[in-house]
Amino acid sequence: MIHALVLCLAIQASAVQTADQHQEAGIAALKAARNSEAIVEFKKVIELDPADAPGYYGLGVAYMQSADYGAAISPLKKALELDSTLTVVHLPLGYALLGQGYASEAITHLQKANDKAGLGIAQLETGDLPNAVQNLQAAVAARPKDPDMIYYLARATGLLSKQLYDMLEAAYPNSPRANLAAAENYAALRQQEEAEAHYKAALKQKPDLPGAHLALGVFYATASKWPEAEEEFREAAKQQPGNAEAAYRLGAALLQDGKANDARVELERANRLLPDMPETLVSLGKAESMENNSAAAEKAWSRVIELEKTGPLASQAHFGLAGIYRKQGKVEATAREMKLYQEAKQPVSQPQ
Amino acid sequence: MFRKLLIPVLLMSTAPSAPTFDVGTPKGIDFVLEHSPTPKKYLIETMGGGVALLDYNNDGLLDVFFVNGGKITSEMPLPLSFDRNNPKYWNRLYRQNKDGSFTDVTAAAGLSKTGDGNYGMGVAVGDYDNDGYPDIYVTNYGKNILYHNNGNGTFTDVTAKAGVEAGGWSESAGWFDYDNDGYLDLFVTRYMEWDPAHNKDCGGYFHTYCPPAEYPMTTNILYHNNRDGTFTDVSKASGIAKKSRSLGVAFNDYDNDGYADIMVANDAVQEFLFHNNGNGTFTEVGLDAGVGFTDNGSPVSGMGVDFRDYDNDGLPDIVITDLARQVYVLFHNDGNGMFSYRSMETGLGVLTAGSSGWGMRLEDFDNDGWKDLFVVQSHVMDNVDQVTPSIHYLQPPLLAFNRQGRFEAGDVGTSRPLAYRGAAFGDIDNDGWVDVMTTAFDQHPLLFKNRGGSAHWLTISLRGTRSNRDGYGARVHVNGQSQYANAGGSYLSSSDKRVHFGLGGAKTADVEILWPSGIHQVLKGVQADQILEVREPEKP
Repeated sequence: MIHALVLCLAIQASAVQTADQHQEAGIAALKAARNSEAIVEFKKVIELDPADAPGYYGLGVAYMQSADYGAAISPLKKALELDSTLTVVHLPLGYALLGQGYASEAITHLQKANDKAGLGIAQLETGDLPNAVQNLQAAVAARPKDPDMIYYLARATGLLSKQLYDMLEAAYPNSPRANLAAAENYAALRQQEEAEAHYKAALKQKPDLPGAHLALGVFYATASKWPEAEEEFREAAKQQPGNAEAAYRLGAALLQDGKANDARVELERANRLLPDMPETLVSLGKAESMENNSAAAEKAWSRVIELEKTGPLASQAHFGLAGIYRKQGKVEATAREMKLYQEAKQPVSQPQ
Repeated sequence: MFRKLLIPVLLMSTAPSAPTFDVGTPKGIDFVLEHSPTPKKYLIETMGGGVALLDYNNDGLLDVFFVNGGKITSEMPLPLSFDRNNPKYWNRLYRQNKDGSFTDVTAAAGLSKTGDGNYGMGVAVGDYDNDGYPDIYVTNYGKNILYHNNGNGTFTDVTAKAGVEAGGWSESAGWFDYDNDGYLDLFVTRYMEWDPAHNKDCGGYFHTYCPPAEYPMTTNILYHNNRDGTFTDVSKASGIAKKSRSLGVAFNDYDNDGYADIMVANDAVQEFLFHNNGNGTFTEVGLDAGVGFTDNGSPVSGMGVDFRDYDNDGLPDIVITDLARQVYVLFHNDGNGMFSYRSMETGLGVLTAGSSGWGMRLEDFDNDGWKDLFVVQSHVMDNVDQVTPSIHYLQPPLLAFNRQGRFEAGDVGTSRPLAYRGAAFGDIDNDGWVDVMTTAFDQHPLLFKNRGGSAHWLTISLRGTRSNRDGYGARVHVNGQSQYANAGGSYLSSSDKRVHFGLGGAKTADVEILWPSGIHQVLKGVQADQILEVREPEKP
């Protein structure tokens, strides 16, 4: 950002016919990151010519580059006061104000600078969460490896979610959705009894509440209450026969109970609804294997490792394949899959 | 005679022949398992609690031996003491009286000396010198102790002479005759390299017992019986000295080659299956046999283990207890040297998903001819309820009836949750129905006394002549069922050495015994409902 600002400043400076040695020296110092020297030079510029907007701009940028955001605000504002057409000032001024906590004031400048990242952060600070989420999503799309942007987007979406839940519970405290929201909150807080009570209350009020059976099923499965989970997933699958997740989860619950044939039917259905989900294919391979359908299991697990080369699902698939080949007496294939299993289960390095 | 402490036993609600247990502490037993939990969360605090059922005085009644922990303080100054000379921390031997009550004979039997510096863990019982009296091997954090049964109601510490103190942190141990020379050898599992000075803080805010991976692995030990009261450590020469974190051990001959194999339950690393090569060496075949990991390729926190035929196909299968969310592991013996993971197909996936299990055994509790599963349960972490509210530290035991290969929940007789650890199995009152003696931290032991039913049964007491005196390693087939004679398995515990069969409606049984010596003995038309002593023929 700073490099771009310096470039703009250079253009401005060259356009001003009265630009003197101090201006040029200031720009040179900025480019070389000799910030203290730049500050001195730009101060001399505005001392010699108090109406020189680029001089104030240069001084502001020099302060910004020195991370002295508080000192940057005044010269940047003066630059705009002197020349409202000097639009490059809006970006550093917006960040300077944001850095000092003046988020509301920063928004105007960041909007004029069309900077989604800064604008999203400023909106997050002022509580304008819907717009913050929108702008931060755009910023993350432009800078997908920026941990700061990912953090701010996560924070904004979390706060927006909480805000909406609070609104739901305040406006419709006894509604099925409010109960469902409360259940999910309690579940997140690991308060099991309260969560279960709210899930059941929601379903009592509205037995066909979309998503509720699925959510309760996941809650039960997480608590290892598989018979209860199976019942909820069955209801969810009945309500939404086109929901691949419901079919997958029902299949997984049936698998947990050793009902391989029933599990296979649901997992095949899940795979038709949403093909090539590795989780579905791993479980489908298990169901086939439990029914001694080695060829079908091999097909499912082979597809998994086409889709995922590393991680727990890939390692499970390789381990399953090794088991098939071992029983078939295929020594080399077994050894190969065991090696790949070991490699696949290694921790995946984090994105930089 | 039977002092009830707990909730009255519920009546059977499913099959009328299903047994339930009367649950309580037998009269005369005042032992309390002292584990001394401290804020420092020393891992040994949560791992002990072995129990043995044995007839030490050969009066035909099972007696009970309990292993105690010891006193632990937060500071644990060196040298370690554990205050084992204090009677509160003694191990205890209780002799069963004819009326079913028990008498504490610990001091009279010479078992009060547990060795300062030893924190008790488990027990293994076997007649290592073939004198007809069961000897007791106690495992410790510290040095293990072998007590020789003098045959007159007393025991002598012969550890030094025998050379079996092991050292470090021993867990489950078991007697078996791996070379079929007629003398019992000894396998000792060891957990990890740990000492109080290197104890770690784990769990952050919650401050929990550390996961095993925080401490270095160690090796198990195999002692070969020299037949003269001494033993030789053959761990390296035999090939069993692979490093791991072992907690449970069970024996059986999974490939029917006549030599005892070893299944070792390891904590959070690959399980071990040591195939006996028949020449004094073993090969670890866990991965090749399909018992190293679950079907996900994941290790479990293996604790208790049993090695018995659950589906009556004549081949021993493997069950391993572990921690909640892992599901107890059942490996089915496919008969070609390989096993298949069948926890889900057998119903254990649903029955045990939230359970953490320690002492356990496949045994026919309702005498219907199918071995059921009994597991004493509790999580390893005493504050797991805070960390993960859907998992519980205190749990009631699990009784799962075997319905032709699929397990269904049974009524164990109590819903009271405790921090159970040890479990020994045997017919305490010789009524033909298998009972369970259990231990739990800070509690008197609970006996799960089988109330019985109408089905028939046969219990066989083996007496080896060419084989070891206990007949350990004999493969016994009765009416399509099979049993392997051995008191080991479970967790830290030793069970009644007699082999038990439920016969269902059959009033007679055909018995076939394959002794470790190779002698094949057949008994036709044996009358049901008796305890039958079978002596090994002197000649083939």
